[in-house]
Amino acid sequence: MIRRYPRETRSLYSRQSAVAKLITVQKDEFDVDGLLRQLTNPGTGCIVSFLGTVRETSMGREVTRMSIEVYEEMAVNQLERIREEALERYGVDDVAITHRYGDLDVGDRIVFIGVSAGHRPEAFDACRYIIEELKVRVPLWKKEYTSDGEVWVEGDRHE
Amino acid sequence: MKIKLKYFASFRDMTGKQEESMNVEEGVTVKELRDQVREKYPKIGEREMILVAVNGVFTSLDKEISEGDEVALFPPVSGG
Repeated sequence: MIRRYPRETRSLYSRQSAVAKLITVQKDEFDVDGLLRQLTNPGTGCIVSFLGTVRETSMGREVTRMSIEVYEEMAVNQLERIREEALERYGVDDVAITHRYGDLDVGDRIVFIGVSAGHRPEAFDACRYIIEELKVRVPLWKKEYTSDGEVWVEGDRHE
Repeated sequence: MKIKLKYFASFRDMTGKQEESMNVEEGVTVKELRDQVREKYPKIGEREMILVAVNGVFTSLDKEISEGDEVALFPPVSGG
């Protein structure tokens, strides 16, 4: 169930940051502290974040490393849409989403989602909304290198 | 008319290419194009779920493709 919050709950300082810097798809490691700082404004009472990392097992198989493929132009566009939806639906202050692609090792960071808001309920709900939407609508694919060989991971839903 | 096709992830492996240009009839729909690709690449044809994006946007199956469009075909996504 999606809860909706009135727009008035959003602080006056929302959307001051440039969207371009708040949505990124990149090969390099990202700076979580820097992202959290970008999300903070005087109206912020909390930031809820989600950090996805490479797990050492998948479907009962050992995973030694991972590579992620992206359709970059579309991925950025989809992430911008999801960000706008989260701002609109939940009335949160700001949203940052960063997703990596390329080669990653076990324990490496894959994705960061940060949501700043006046209060925690809308921040938690918006963060959950964003990760669930990302998993079905953003063109990124994981390939796992496992004890049984290389395996493309594929989801089962779409927009 | 000429369009550009792009393939990602396992579909890139199945076609052996990231992209190609294809000549298609005027007014071809997303669904018809998807069926043509299924026929050309039997391994994709076996797949139940084929996602299609036109110029980077998910569109309805009855949308008509235009000259120069970039049509991407790929399996269900798995980011996050």
